[in-house]
Amino acid sequence: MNGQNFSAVNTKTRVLKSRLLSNRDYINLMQLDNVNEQIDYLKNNTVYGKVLEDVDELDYDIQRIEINLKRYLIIQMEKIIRYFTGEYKEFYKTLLLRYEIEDLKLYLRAIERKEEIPNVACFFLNHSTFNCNKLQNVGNLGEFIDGLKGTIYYDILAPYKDEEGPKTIFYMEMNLDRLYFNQLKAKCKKLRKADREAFEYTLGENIDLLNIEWIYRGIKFYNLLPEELINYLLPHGLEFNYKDLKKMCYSDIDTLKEIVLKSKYSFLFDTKKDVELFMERRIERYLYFKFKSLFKKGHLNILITIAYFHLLEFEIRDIISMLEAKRYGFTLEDTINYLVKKIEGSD
Amino acid sequence: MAVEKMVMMNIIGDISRVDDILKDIALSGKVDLVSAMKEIEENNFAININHENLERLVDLNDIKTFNKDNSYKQLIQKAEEIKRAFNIETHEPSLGGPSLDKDHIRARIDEIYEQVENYSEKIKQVEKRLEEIDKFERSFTIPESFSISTDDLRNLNYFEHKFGLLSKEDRIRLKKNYENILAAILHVGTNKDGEIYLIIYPLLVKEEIKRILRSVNFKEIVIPETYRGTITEIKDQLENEKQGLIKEIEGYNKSLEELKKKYKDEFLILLNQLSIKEKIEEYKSNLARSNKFFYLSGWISESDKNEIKNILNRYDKLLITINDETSIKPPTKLKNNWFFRPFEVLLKMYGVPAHDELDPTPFLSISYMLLFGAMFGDLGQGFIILLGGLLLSRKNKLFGGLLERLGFSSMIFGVLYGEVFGIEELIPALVIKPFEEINTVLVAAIVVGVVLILISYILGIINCFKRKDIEEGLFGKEGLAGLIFYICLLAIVGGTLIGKPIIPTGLGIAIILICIAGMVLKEPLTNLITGKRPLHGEDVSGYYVQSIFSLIEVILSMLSGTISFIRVGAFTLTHVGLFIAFKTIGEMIGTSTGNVIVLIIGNIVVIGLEGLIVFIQGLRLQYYELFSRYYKGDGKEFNPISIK
Repeated sequence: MNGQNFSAVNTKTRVLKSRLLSNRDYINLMQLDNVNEQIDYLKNNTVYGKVLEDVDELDYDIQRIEINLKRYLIIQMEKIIRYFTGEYKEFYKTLLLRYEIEDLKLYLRAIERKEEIPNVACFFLNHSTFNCNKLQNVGNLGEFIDGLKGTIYYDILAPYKDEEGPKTIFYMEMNLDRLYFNQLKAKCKKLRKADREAFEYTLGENIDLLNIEWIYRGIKFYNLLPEELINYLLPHGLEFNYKDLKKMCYSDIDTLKEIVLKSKYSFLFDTKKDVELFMERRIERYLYFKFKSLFKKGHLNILITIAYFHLLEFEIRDIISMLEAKRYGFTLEDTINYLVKKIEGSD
Repeated sequence: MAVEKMVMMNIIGDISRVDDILKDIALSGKVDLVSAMKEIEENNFAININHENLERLVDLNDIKTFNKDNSYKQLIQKAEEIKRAFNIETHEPSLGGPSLDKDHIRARIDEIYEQVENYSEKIKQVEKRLEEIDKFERSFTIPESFSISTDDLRNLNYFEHKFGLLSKEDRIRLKKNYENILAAILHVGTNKDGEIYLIIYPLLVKEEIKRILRSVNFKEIVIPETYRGTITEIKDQLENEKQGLIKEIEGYNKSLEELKKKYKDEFLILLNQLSIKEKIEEYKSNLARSNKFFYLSGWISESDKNEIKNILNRYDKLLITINDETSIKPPTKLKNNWFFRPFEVLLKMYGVPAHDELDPTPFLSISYMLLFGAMFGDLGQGFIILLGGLLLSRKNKLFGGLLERLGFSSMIFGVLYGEVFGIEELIPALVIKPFEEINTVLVAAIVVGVVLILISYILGIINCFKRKDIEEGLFGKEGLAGLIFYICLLAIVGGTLIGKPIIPTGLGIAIILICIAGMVLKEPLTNLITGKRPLHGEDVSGYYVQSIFSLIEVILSMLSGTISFIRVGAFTLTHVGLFIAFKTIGEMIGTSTGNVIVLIIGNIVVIGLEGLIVFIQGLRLQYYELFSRYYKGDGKEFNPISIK
């Protein structure tokens, strides 16, 4: 497909979307007594049953479940990718790069803590750009980075090869994130105009929100220099230009709030509840509704598939939240506050 | 000619002499070792039991293999390093020379190695330093117009500085926020990785600037403390250091050279001894040992028997037994005179004859030369191939020899056809001008083929009888039945072609039917003759289905195999025809120089391309039409141990 005809892939995507969990499923899950029952519920009553099949009852472990759920997401996206060729296929692969990057971060953290490299990830199997097995056998950071030679990650990680110290990981992660957004931006440039503009809009909003979160946390918790804040901002946002962002970086918390309250993202601070605790969830719920309405509008462009991708992502996050909440003994009323999907009773 | 008869030699001797004996055997180059352990296990180690031998036999009970002496490996590694340091080319171990004790060799090599290593280690260090300088020079490429002295920069009391690389994107990031950054950022140069900047900032904000630089992926280029002054001065300094280092290396090399002068001759002898000893150590893995004796088994050709006994005579208490009958299949040693020997190359490409098979080399040689010459008959071009063969035989004696003989054959046929370099007018044809009598050429090719196939049948039957294989020899499709079948078939077909029956058709068909019956019933018939029962193997119906189908194959292959030889005639014609094409092109060009050039190119193409094709086609006829009728080639080559 050259991007002209979305009717087939969008129909397919609608079928996939219809398999997402219902409100009833959410409530059922939260009402169960313990984590094992929740996992059994997922196994027996939802589409996730298939990827959870091989998880043995004896080693129910939330991390393991999370990996398998993410694998489900990758399988679904690979179904969709099959409808595309050329630049469009490349674009969707780039979208999934985030999961590869998350893997890389897990590896890096394990190396830094001198732990065994987790056998967690590698679910990006069909399109993986590096050799997981090879990387699992390295002894130190230098070897690890050398193992990435030939991938897009090598150039940005190479300068840290001989570095030591806890902050190194932070710098590498920041660079990896920036790489992801730069790649997305570059790949979407090659799409048709309508698709490009539609995607750039949603990407721009996402970047705005991430930047606000970054600046807020940087000022409040990390005591970063304003210059450092600026240098790690993601480019290509939607609402704020460089001057606005610079102003935000050089202000204190209250001024920052004021600026944001005046923008379309006022919902972040316009609340009586805890700002920090729910900030990430608010961002995600905002995007959740955005994508939901995009899906409903159903234009014949790439947004349907992009929306499905994110909706599924949020759902998986919710499932994990529900499992964790049960583990810590949250009540149903408490739990719904931490979910991206809005279940009656939360704001 | 033919295959030499091999016998198995078993030796039992005193274990203290094993190295010397093995060395002598290897020097003789006439013994193909086999695993003595296996020989003993299969009870082929025949020893007469008498009082004297009793001890040797009793000792057989706790027999084991030799442990490999790994101390040689280390010595050889050291020797290799010395070789590298002395710059000695690889050399072939030579025979003779005094036999040196292992401990002596070790001591001498260790001594030389220590002296050599001293210098080569130093050279390595200096080279490493040179590399560091090179690396720094490559990254620190600031033009000399940058006149600030690094000393001045270092001596600043309240400021610090850094040189380093920034990407374009990060540079813009900094630039946009310049008013908030307390540092001066100057572009000072370019290297292959990016742009070099000099950053100067107050000591007070040192930590902040470091963090900021960190956030824009600043890659620092560190100037070592010892480099002082301006860029020009640093460059001079580096240049001086480099010169000094190079001189240092030269000095070391000179010392190495002196060492070489002093030790080279001795070292070569040591190395020679060492490699001989290591080879022998390798061969020992085939031997077996007990507490007091070693056991050695190997094939020798019967004619070398006495020579080897003579060599080993000087060792006393050696028990040599020679045995013609063992259960192991002996290897094959081909023995051919100088004329046929090069053709062994072609034979070995197919397979080495088994010990009880005729050596097909002479027949192969003659028939192959005949076929090649017939297809590629040209006095001039044959001469070129002969010359090529002579040149090549310096490097590759066998293949060169092969080309010489083929070229020679081509020349003879050139005279018969009257062709020189593709030109037919120069000399008269002694026998025939192929292009003028196409039919004769094609028919002659088939006749030659028939003769060759008949000879193959006879050779095949001889081979069967040598193997005492009655079934294939009498009733096989390549045996007597097949031969008679083929002759009758030829007689009938030939008779029809010339319109005059050679044998009565009815008789011919009757004989053919008898032959077919023999081929189909070959297994029961053989069992009947040899008196074996039951007549058939296990699967009776399967046997008949198979033999009837293979019969169809026989008839087809007889006809196609014969017709196949028509290619000999066809290529004879192609050879001439291809050249006519070039001649025509030459004439079309018109000028005589052009004409000559085209003819030269034509000759090159014909010799290169057609020569190759004819070479392959001839080989194909040999392998498929002839070898398949008489030759199995499943033998193992005789491979004597030697020092080289």
